[in-house]
Amino acid sequence: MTGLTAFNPLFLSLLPLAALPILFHFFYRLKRQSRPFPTLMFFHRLDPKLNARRRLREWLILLLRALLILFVLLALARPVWFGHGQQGDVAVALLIDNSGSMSGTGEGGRTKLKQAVDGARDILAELHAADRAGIVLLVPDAAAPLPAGLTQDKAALKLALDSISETEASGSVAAALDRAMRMLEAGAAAHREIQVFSDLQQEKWGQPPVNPPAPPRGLDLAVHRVPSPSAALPNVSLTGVEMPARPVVAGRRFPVQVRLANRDAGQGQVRLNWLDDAGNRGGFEVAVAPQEEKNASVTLVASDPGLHWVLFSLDGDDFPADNRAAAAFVCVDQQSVLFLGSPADFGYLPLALSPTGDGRLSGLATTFSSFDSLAADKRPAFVVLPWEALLQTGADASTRREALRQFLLKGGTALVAPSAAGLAPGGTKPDWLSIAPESLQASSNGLALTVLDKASAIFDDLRDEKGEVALRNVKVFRFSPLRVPAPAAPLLGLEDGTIVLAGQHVGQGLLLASGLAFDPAWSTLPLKPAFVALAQGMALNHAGAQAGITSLVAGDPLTGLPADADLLVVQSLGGSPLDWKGPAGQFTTFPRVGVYALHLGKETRRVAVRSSEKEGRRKFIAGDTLAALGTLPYSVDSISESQSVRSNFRRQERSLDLSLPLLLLAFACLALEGWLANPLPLKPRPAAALTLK
Amino acid sequence: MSAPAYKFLPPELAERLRGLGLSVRRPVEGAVQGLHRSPHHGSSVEFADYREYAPGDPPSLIDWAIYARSDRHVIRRYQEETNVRAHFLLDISESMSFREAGLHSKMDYACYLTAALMLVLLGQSDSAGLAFFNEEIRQTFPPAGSLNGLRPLLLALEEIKPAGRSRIEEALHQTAEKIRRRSLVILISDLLQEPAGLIRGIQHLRHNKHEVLILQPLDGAELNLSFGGLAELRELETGARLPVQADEIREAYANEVGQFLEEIRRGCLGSLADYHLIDTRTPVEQTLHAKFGQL
Repeated sequence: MTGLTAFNPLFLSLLPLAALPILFHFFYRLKRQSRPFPTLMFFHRLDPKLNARRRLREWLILLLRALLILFVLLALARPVWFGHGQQGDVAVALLIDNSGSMSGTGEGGRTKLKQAVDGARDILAELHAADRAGIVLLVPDAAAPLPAGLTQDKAALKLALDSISETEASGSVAAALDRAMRMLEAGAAAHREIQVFSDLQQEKWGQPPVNPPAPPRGLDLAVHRVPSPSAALPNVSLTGVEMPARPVVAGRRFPVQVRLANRDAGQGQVRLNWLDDAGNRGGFEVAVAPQEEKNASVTLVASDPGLHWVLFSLDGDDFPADNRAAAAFVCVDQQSVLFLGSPADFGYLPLALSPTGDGRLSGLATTFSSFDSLAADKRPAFVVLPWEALLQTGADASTRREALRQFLLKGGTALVAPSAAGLAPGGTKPDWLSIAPESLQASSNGLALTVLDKASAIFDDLRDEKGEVALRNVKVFRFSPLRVPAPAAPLLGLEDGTIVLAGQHVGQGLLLASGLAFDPAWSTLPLKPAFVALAQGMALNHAGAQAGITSLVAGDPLTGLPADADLLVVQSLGGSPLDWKGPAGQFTTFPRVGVYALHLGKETRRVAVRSSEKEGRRKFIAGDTLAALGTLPYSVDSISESQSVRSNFRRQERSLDLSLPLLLLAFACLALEGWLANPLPLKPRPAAALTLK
Repeated sequence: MSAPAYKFLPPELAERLRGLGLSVRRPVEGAVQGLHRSPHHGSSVEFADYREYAPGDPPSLIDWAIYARSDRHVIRRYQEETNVRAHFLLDISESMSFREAGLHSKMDYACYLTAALMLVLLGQSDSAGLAFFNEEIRQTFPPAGSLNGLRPLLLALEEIKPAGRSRIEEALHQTAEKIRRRSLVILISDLLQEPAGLIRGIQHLRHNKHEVLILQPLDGAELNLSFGGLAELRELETGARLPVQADEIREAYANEVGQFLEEIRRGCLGSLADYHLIDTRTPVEQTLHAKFGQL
């Protein structure tokens, strides 16, 4: 920063406009037509130097007009002469960019945030006893206790600076400036300054503000750029975690998709690590091609029911602030599957649902019982029964059907399928069931099985990366076609259009009706790997989704909190620690990755926070134009260019705003120009001057 | 009086010149009997008849007895009268081509005046000659005493193309040396020169016993600036240019012109020359009647 600085340098580029009056003068002079007149004798008699005077005045007017434009443009450029002028009380807001990008390594091997804090410390050291200062962070950080507002307590300010640490969040420049301005407005200092320390990442500083804050009068805004050296390694970002849509069952392994992105030009080679709340950890190498995104699948298992979390992190690139993500999930207890019949009736289905029968591996425990035990049994997650048991008529048929209907009405899921031995003819379906099986049919060559409703949740585990459901060439040899009137909906069919699996909602529950027995004599489906996924998809389909867990990007505002809630308690469950307590309206954001519990009275919410991918984008503004500052007057310098921020601030402390003197000069030019351009009429020569010879 | 269709003497103007008269203050020499007093008194000086009084006639010649009876001013023709040789001296410099506020350019106006006055003079049995000048006398026509003799003069007026700069003093000196007999010299010019030279020329004519009549046609825009704001003026005769802020000097300019005209008027008065300032915004006929008529 030089001694003379313009806060609106744009106007300096308009200075050539000052030549416009002279250009117009010559232009109109070329176009001016002379007026024939009989004699100029009277003008010469009037004033022999009339022409010379007029020319002199004309050039003076031109000069004054050019100076007028020059002074106005210079005044608009807001030049300030540092190191001169009056020095009064100074109020300084130190705005420190603590967003994720500042955790990158700066010049000299220190992080950029460390350099920014050192720069702010230099300014603190230059403050006089009567001066006041405050600290504003670009990303509000409850973990960094800052003095409230402006203070003269330099020791407290230095302690606060020491407490500032890197975040993994993005922040809003406009919001931070607004906080800084409000802090300064609260004071009555003669001189107000905002000293900004940032790496000027394009993502944050290159976007025009939506609601630019109005600056207080007499504000000086100085931006100190913390240089960002070019990185040696490509940066791979962890851009998201996709948990299973259905609940996680204790003891059952489940896949988690971790999304990675490489925005740089080189091949990214990182190690994806994970650590869960039980201390289990793992990791593997992942290569991400330049400018590509990639999904990495991690298989996890939770042994106990309840809330669990897992932290994912990347190692191997040199920018850490976009490498972490936290995920939370609720694990439910082992689910029971009740087969109403003997194991022989259900073919391979019991094995697909629970290979060991006791809930290990799949989290589903199977029991076989009679229909009569449905009402008395512990409520199962999934009930399977043969068509014969449902269609059977007799004295207790209505009781059994009502027990099934009550199970469904309360949200249960049931599957009715032909017995592996074959569908016995006869019987009637319950009134509340619209689906009805028809007589058994056979196909010696087999008919291909097709998916009729690809959106159904029972196929979620069968989808490939493109979302297509892959059944892998299943042939059906025996089947009982289903009649599926509304409100039932077909799910699986044969290549000739015959429906063999349909679903009907009954109350909150779901009844799945199959025209196939899950036996190799009926189809090749039980022999396919997809059968396990389909069977377990049907069993867990209706067990409820993950609820009460919010995923957030660090720095994003937390929405949905009642602003008038008296007390919000934020507790850290995993990841970066954060313990905060206060009115809900004052809570701003989560600056780092972790899993947090939010207690609002009796209500508890969980939030899983991942790092901001935007912070890893390595585009920084090199020039002096910062779109995020809108029309605010500001100056930009670089910490590395100047010997120290301290020497600059000492000069800035005494500054002379030249705008007013320049405006006064402009007015003086205007007045003088008006006087010259509108001269008083020439006085007539006195009659005594007559010379008659 | 027949009225030929000349540009500067249209029939309607010629018709309206009746009643105009042009006389001289002092006796002039003439070969033909006319309206003007002759310095030579013959043996037959006796009463002949009456004629209407004309401006310039000595009031002592008015017959007051007739006036008492008829309320008319008449002069008894009791002595021998002589004719006048009038020499028109017409300025054809380029400044005479100016026209802005006037009905005609100064040149055309001067031609109208010349033609009309020549006709008036012929009507009084006088004769009229004509000379054009700018830097020097360019063309001369000997005095004509009849309408036929006047024809080349009237045609010459139509051929005038104003050009060059005028040197009035030189023209007057040349005229004074050239005319031998006492005559009436009528100078028609805008006189846009220093008055001192003009006065010297007039005094030369007067010294040679000539009567001098000066007519100065000026455009209204010369008397008062008709434009406003900044303008670049180009002098017609020299091409010199001068940017002026009209609003700034309007009053001073009018005053300067007034002083200039006053200088000329006083100079003419002191040299016993008749002087008339003519505004070209006034119709020619009206000017003639105002200056030379008995309306």
